[in-house]
Amino acid sequence: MGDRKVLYAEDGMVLTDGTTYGRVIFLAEGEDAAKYREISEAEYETILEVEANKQSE
Amino acid sequence: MSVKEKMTAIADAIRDKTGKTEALGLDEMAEGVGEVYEAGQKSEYDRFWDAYQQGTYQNQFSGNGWNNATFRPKYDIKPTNGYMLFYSSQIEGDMVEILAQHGVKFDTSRTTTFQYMFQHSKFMRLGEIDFTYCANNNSSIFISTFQTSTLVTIDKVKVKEGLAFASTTFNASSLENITFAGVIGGTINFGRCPLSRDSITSIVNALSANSTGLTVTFSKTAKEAAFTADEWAALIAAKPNWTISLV
Repeated sequence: MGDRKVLYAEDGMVLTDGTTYGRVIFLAEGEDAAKYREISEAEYETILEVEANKQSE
Repeated sequence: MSVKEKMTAIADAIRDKTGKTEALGLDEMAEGVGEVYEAGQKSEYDRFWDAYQQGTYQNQFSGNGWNNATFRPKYDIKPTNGYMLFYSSQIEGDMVEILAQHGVKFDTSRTTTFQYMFQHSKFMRLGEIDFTYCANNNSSIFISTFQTSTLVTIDKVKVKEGLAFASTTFNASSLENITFAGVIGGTINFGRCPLSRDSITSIVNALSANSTGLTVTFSKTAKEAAFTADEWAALIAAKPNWTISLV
């Protein structure tokens, strides 16, 4: 993987930096892992639902 | 009027509608009635589609009234404004084949917005979709373009490096097959798509080698079904400038 860092979310959690969401994230070289935090799957699904409803209006 | 005069009037009317010029006997007149009906249908088809396929195509085939029986385009579909073009249309199946049956094509080489173009539509396959005429750095023109649960294949998506995509552009929950031509230079999300190995490979290969700060998202399930760990590492090694998320 070269200099890539790989982040793994705990079971039942999803990683996010507020824009990107993922259960496994292969960071670009030089990207800061500290900007990612974990949210629950339920919270992630809610975010998706809100986004889908907003786009369908 | 005499019987002869009436018969001549009937024959004249048939000739007028069918373009025939020869004398018509009774048998030919009986056949002519059917031909007049078909000529009328063709005339109405031409009248409607000559008028309907003017304009930009915004919302042109959106809604429940458009289905495989009513969708009978006469001309190539070349939208300049693709806003909601097929939104919630009930036309089902392979768009390429459907259009081929009518002798027409779908051409987006001059389309400037794809907002909601195929959202909630029922196509299973699309042909070539050309994004390259769109303005750069405007993700709103790609909101929910392919947000549909039936779409399985997009033959080709033509892109250019300056385009910005919405997070919902490829919210196609059945999309397996897609090929990109050009360079992807904006964050792009395929997290809902059960993409094939070839599709994921096409996408990764199309990612800009120069841009920074961008992310491509794939379905974790799709990636794990398609690649071993070593294959995956080899694939993404060529794009160290991209963050790659599996969701």
